[in-house]
Amino acid sequence: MKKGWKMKHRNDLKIAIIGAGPAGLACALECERLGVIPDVFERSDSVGWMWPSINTLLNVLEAGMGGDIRQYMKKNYRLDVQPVADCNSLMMFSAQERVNIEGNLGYLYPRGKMKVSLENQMANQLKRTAIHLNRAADYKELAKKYDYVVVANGKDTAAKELDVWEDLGRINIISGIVYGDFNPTTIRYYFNTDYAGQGYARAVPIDAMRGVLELYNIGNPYKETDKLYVKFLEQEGLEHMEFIIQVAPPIFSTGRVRQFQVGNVLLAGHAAGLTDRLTLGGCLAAMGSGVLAARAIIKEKDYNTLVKPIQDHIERISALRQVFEKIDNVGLDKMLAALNTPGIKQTMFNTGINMVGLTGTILRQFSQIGILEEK
Amino acid sequence: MKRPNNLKIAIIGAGPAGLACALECERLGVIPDVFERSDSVGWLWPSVIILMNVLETGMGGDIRTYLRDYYRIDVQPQTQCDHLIMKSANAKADIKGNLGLFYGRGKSKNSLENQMADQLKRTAIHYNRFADYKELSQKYDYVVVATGKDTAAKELDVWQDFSPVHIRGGIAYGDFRPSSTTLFWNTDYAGQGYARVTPIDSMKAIVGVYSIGKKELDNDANYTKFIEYEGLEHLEWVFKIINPVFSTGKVKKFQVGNVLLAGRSAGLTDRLMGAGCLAAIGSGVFAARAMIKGEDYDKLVKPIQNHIENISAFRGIIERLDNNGLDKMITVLNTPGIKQTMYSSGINFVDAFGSLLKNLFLKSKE
Repeated sequence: MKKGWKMKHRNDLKIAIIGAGPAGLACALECERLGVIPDVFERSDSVGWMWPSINTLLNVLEAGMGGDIRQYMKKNYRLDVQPVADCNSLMMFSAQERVNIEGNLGYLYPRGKMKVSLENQMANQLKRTAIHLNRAADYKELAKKYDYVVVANGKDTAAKELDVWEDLGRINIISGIVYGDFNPTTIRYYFNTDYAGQGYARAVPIDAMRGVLELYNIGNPYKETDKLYVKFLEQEGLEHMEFIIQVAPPIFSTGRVRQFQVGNVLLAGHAAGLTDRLTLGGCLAAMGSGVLAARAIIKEKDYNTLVKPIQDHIERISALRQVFEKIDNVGLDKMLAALNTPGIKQTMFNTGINMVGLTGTILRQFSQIGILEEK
Repeated sequence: MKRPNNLKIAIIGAGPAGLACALECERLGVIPDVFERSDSVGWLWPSVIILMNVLETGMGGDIRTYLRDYYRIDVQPQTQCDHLIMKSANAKADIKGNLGLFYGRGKSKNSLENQMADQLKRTAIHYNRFADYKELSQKYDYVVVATGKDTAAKELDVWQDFSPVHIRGGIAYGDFRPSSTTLFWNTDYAGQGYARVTPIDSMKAIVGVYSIGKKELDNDANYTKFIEYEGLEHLEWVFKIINPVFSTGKVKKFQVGNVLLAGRSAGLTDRLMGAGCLAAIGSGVFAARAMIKGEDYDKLVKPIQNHIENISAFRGIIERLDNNGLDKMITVLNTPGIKQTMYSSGINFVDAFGSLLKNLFLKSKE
C-alpha cells in the first residue's frame, strides 16, 4: 500500500475493479456515486455471461432483508434493476410429491448478453467509468499501481493465493436453453437424489417461449453429469423440449473466506465465497459486497466489518444444506408433503418470518416427523 | 401480373441464408418480412467458422472477393487464416500461406450475422416470432425457409437423409495465434469426424469435436479423450457446449409451390467438415433473385449443391481410413510439392485431392 494514502484526497483514489459482473458493476456504480471513477477490467469482449440464464431471487431466502428484495436493493445498495418478471408461482417436485406455492415470491432477473440482462442494466447505468474489455488483469500487478484493487472475477484464485479461502465443495452444472411453452412467472424446482445427488434441478422461464433447464449436481462425480442430465430430462418428462444449446460451465467451487481484504486487495462476490450452498445463488450477495467494497474504500471503513453480515446470511442459508446431505428420495417426498400443509406453506412463504434464521428449528422438526434419518 | 416490387416475401430465419436473401431482396427493390424465433440476431454462443480457399477454389480462389462479386455481400472477416496445422495420431502437416478467412459467429458486434443485419436498410426483422411456413405461404407470395432445420424439407417430402453431425465444443482461455488453426484427425475420439482449435482472438478459442457419421458414439467421453490426448487440459474453460445434433441431407427439389428452401434447410451443409455458411449465403441470394426476377430457383442453386456434393464425396474416403491411413494422408499433405500445389496455386482442390486420397486409400488397403 502506498505510504500516506490516508492523506490523499478521496476522489483522487485510484481504484481498479477486476470483473464486470454484478459484484464489479455494483462496486463501480457506488464508486461513481461517491465521487471516484474506477477502472474496470473485464476479460471478456462484452458485459454479461456468454450464455443466457435466469437468477431467481426469492423473498423467502431474504426475509431478513425485509421481505421485498427489490426494495432492499434500492434502499441499501442504491441499485435499481428491473426484473424480467415477478415470480408468483413456485412448484417443487420430488420423486412422488409436488408442492405449489403461490404469492409474491420474488423476482426473475435475466443474465447474459441480452439488453435487459442484469449485467447490461447495471453497465448502462454507469456514467463515466470505463470498462476495459478483453483485458485479463492480474490483481497482484494492479495492486502496485492502484490504491485499491477489488477482485470481482467470480474465481477463487485470488482468495486461494492470499490464503484466505476455505474450500467447501464443488458443484457440477449443466444448463440447457430450450424452446417450449413456459409460464413467465412460474419456476419449477426438482429434488431427486437419482440425478441431482444432494443438489437439485430447475426449469425457469426466460420468456413465454424460452426457458433454462439446469442441473446442479452435488456429490456425484463430475464426469457423470452429462448422463445425469439426460436422466433428469427423462424422469421429469422434459426430453421433448427443443434444445437450442446445452452448456457446462467449469466445475464451480464454493468456499468461505476468512478475510475479505488483504492489504489493498478486496474480495467481492463469488471471489469472496459469497455463494450460498443451498440454492447456489450469490447474485444479491455479489452486488451487496461490491457496494460495500466501494464504501469501505472511499469512506475509509472496515470492509471486513461491513461485509460480514452478508457472509453470515450466506452461511445461514447454507446451513440448510445439511438437510440435503442426509435425505433420500423418501425423505424428500415427506419434506414436500409437509410443505404442502396449508399452514406451513403460508407461514413460510407469505409471512415475513425469517426462515433462514430458523435452520436449527427446521432440522429438529424434520427429524421429529421422520423426514431426516441418518443414512 | 404483379409488379415485382409489390411482391410479398416472408423469410423465416435471420441467419446467413435468411439475411443474405433479405439483403438481395432490398437491392432488387422488394422489402421482405424476416421472422426470427430468437430475441436477436446471431447464435447464442460464440463460434468461428473457417472458410478455406482450398475448398472453394472452384469459386475463384479468394472468398471475400467471390462473396462481393457474385452475391454482392461484403463481410469483414475476423482475421485471415495464414497457418493451418493438421494433426493425426502420429503425423503433422504445417501449411502456410493465404489459406482463407475466419468469420466470427454469434452475438458479438462483428459476427457475420450482425454485420449482415446491420447492412439491411429497410427490412424489419420480427424477433421472438415462431413462424410456420405453411401459414405464411398462404399470406405471402413467397416464403423462404432459412431456419437451419430440416423440418420443412421433410414435410415437403424432398429431403434425403444422410449422417447426423454431433458437436461437442468449448470456449477456452489460453494463448492463441489469431490467424492459425489446428485440425485433428483421429478416429479414437472423433470417429469419422475431426476436431479443431480455432482462435476467437489471441486469448480465446473454440475447441470442438465434430463427429460425423451414423455410428452412435459416446460423444462426451470422446471429448474428454480429445482434450487429454491432445494435451489441452491446461486450457481454462469458459464453458463447454453440447449442440443439438444436426442432420445433413440432400434435397431433391429446392422449391415446392411458393416455398423456397435455403441454407441448411436445403441440405446445403457439406458432409466432410459440416460447414455450409457460404452455401447458405449463396442460396439465400439466389432465392431472392429467383423470386423477384422470375428465374428458376432450382437451376440457380444447383451448382451450389453440386459443389457441396463434391466436398461431401470425400467423406466416403475418410470413412474408410483408420488412424494409420490418416497418418499417411497427413504425411502426404506435408510433402512440399503437394502442399504448394494444393494451397498456393489456383487448382481445384476437390478434384486434385480426390484422386490423391483415393490412391492412398487403395495403398493402405494392400
